[in-house]
Amino acid sequence: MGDFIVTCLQAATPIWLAALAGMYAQRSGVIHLGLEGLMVSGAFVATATAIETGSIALALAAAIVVNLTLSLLFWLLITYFKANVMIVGLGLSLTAAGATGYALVVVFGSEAAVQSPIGLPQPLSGLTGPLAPLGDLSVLTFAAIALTWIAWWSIRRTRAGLKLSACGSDPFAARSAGVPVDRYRLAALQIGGFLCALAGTELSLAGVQSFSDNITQGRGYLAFAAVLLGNVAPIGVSVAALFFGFAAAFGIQSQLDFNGTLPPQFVLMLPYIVTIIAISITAVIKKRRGEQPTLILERTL
Amino acid sequence: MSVKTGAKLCRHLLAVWALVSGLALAGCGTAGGGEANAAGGGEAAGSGGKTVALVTPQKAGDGGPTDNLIAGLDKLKAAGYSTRFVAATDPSSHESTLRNLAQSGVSVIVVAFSEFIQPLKTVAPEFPDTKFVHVYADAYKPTIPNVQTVTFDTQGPSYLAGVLAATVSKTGVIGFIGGTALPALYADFHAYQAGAKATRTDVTVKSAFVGSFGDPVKGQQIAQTMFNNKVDVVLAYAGGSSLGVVKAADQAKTHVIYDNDESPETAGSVIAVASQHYGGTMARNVLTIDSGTWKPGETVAGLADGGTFLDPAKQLASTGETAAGVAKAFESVESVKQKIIQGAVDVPFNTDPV
Repeated sequence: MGDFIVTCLQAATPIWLAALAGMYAQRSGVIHLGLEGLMVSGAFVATATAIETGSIALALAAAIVVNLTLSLLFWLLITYFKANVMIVGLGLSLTAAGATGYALVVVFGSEAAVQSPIGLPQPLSGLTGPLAPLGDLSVLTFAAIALTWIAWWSIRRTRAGLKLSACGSDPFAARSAGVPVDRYRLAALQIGGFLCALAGTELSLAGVQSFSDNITQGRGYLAFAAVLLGNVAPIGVSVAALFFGFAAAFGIQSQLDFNGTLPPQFVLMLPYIVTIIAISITAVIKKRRGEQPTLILERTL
Repeated sequence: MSVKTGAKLCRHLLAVWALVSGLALAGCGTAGGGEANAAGGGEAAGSGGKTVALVTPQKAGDGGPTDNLIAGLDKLKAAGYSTRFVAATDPSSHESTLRNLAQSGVSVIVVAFSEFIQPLKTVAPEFPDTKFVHVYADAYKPTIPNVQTVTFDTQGPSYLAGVLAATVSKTGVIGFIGGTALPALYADFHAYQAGAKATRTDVTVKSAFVGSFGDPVKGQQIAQTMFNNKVDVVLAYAGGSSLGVVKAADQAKTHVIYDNDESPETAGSVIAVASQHYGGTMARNVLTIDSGTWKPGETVAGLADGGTFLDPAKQLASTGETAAGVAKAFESVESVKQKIIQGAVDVPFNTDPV
């Protein structure tokens, strides 16, 4: 059981961190389809730096710096050049996937996997007894828990958080009230870049300690789905990400235990089916209650 | 984007190559005369007209099948062929890539994996003088006179892997991790299971599929779950995802029968490699064109000709005390292998879902 929970958390952590990033962006009124790209760039930069320097701290720092730069670019494109948010986000994801694949060849002369000599620290690795499986969790899983609380506190309990939400739900009113909407969006995207750097690092340096072409395998889009499923709220998106982690771990466990009764293809598609059903159900419930849909489509000034 | 870049790059390369061969032709000023076509250019560029092009749907550097095929290309280069390699990662470019190559006068075009079945069926009849070798594809029906398909009998090594895993396992529970749920991998699983059961009747075989050949992160999570459920030897047939299986085995101090080339990182947990000599088989088949024994239609590479194999890991010594046990287990593996080749042991071919 402990092992199962650990696998859930391991599968969930990258999605979780990226979903928090998407949540901040969406709160500020930016639909962030670039999560996948920021994850893959973070994963690549972290792995490459870890290989070159042998330092986890430098690897994390480099991934964060690169992602902050990319997020700044994202913001410039949608703010000053008035580019379509969806297109820029998708463009970021596709470009990052291609660029990291290309960088692999240029930097390492390989088109498949490069392996890092070091991985993320595992703070509880000394534990014995029934809690021993927790030792496999990387430091970023615990960081995700802390960051969820920080996200909740910053959005629900601070003036800046309320203003940020206003930028998303009604940018015109926010601007009338003197909120610098564009700057809040920049801040949200920068936080998102930081969180995606952590997500990418978790993906590449927590377990496999390697980077291979397109290592994210759509986890960034899954994170985007978690933002919607979690109703763009800090706790909600965390629960949604954990649910995706649970679905992944359950998919694995059921392949081992219910062999022959459930076809593997069915098990593999289960998490996505459940996501579609869950999003549909929340939409129906909201409609019954007469609430507005939370999906904030492009609202620019 | 990578896909697009790949296609573009490929097109650029083709353009550059056509230009170069054109120049070479102009320089010679002899061959072809007025008919300065691309085929003439190919002759001029190739050494003695023997050119072979390898087209794969994956990029080089995977430490797996693609690299192995490129190694085979080097063998052909040593045999006097001029060689080219094209990674056509974009499915929409497959047909045009093949057609461009054939038009440019390449005498042998080798393609790999099932992605190329349709493009090849379209392009091959248009160029009856060009020979096509399709590595890792099922036989075409009806056969095309200038196309040879090469299939690999992977059930043989899978059976042997079952024998090895059942012998080495202490817990009596062994695992199989496949890339995606494909009939070919089901057949491998059944062979693996049969080999294990024939060696040790009380053995339990667990199986799981990653759902992708390129997701090492999930591969690791699956392997980790298996190792938490008593599995202590795993046959990883998951391509790029197998790396994750190795990482999980490092943590759990368990053993992996691996399907890729070994690297320093696979030391300590990989006890054997079950794979195919794609490149060697490809080179051997292409060289039969020179010796005149080349025939279109289906050819099967297997344990007997070394097309497929189960070998002890080169870094076996790094697995510590297991190494001796594995070396000993390979004695029985070797005898079973001889029996399979002689036909005394029947390896099942069963593509039923697991």
